[in-house]
Amino acid sequence: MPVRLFRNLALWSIGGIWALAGVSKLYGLLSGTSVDQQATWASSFPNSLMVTIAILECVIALLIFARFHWVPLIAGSVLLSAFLVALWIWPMEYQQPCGCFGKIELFHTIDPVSKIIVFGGLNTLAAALTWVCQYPKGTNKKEHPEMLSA
Amino acid sequence: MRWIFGVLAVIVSQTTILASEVVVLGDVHIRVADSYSGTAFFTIDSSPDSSAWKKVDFSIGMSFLSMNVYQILPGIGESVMEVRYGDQNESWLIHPSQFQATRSKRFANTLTDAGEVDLSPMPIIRMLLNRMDQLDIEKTSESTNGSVTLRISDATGASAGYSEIDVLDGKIVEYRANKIKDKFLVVVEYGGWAQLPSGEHIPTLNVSKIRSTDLVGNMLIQTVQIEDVSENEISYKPEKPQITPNMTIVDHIEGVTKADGEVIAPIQYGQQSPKPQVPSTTDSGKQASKLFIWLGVGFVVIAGIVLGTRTKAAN
Repeated sequence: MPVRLFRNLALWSIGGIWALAGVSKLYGLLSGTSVDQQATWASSFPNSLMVTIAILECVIALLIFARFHWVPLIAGSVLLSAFLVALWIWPMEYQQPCGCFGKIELFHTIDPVSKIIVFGGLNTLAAALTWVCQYPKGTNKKEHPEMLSA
Repeated sequence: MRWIFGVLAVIVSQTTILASEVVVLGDVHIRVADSYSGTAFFTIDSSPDSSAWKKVDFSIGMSFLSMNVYQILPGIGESVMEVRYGDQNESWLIHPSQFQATRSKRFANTLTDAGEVDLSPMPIIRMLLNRMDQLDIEKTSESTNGSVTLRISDATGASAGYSEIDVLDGKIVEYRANKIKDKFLVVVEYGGWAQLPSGEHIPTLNVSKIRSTDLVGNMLIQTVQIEDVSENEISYKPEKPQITPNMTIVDHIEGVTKADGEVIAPIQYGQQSPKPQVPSTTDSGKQASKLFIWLGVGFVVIAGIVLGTRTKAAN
């Protein structure tokens, strides 16, 4: 039971983060009503790409809350990897805010790579807990040959 | 030998010769083309990919500047990051992708705008020509090759600190500013001097170095390659950037925020004015970043332990 609880906590945390990132990005892209802020790294990409990413983030969050586990976890890992690659190819300007959460200044003082590492770690932990819940000890057919004949 | 130039301000002369400006500080002469346009490509020296990441189409003069800043996305194209314009009447900063524009007196007040000093020593010349009565300038050293170092500080006491310039053969070859604990936070080396048709010289290969205020870590070093340079006519002035109807305008001159051409509300400084972005290089930001990294590593380690033990408690 505790493992399931921890798995759910990890999944809900990830789902919440993706939902916040996606919704705040969409809100920032569609509203355009705030006073002037420094241009973010995210805003340097075409709007169509940013809308697509924001929608993807929302879909990942929805899938997690709909109790699909593997697809959103894998998709989340791919998206985080893509962010890392993008940061490497198109590095941020000196002291430029990343805009990961749109106009919401959540974790805005933290280096984006550090954010990706912690979310990636949480993603990995959630995947491990999901694996353990799905395949608990005792279901390994090599450990229980009698299951092979079943 | 140190000569105090502040008291000699009266002998400072400004001379316009064809398309150039000349600043005379005692026996030090500084010349620069009066007005020219070009395209600058910024490359981060420490980047594994040494191709340019930023492009700036610029037009600068003694009384104006215009900069269109693009981020270069290899394989995709270019994306407009911001548009800057400034003259003695007004300055504009536009973020087209965010539909935001800011109108202010930035150029009139500071005689420059963000990033211009990376392109040209023009802002320094502007300051020397227009604010001489507010400056203390002293020659601090003179090398055997003829290079002279001048220290420029605020004579009014309104701001602390000082900047330095190295002048060689009438050219500003290095600019240093914002000194903290014997280290300058901003250093720009001007090189690749090219001669324009008028005979004036301009730098076309600059090196910009920026250090964080906490003096920790390496300097951000960027090479600025300037291409397609052309001299502007004396009467030339760049067009003001276009403001599209769907933009939100924060007008610091009129003190109001506008949208769709209508005034929404007055700017309430201290409440609705833009919050300063806290850079990721602050102490708290760095500590939080380190904590995040350790947290991420911790999650992965726990994941490994969980998988390793494959606890029966899952049921």
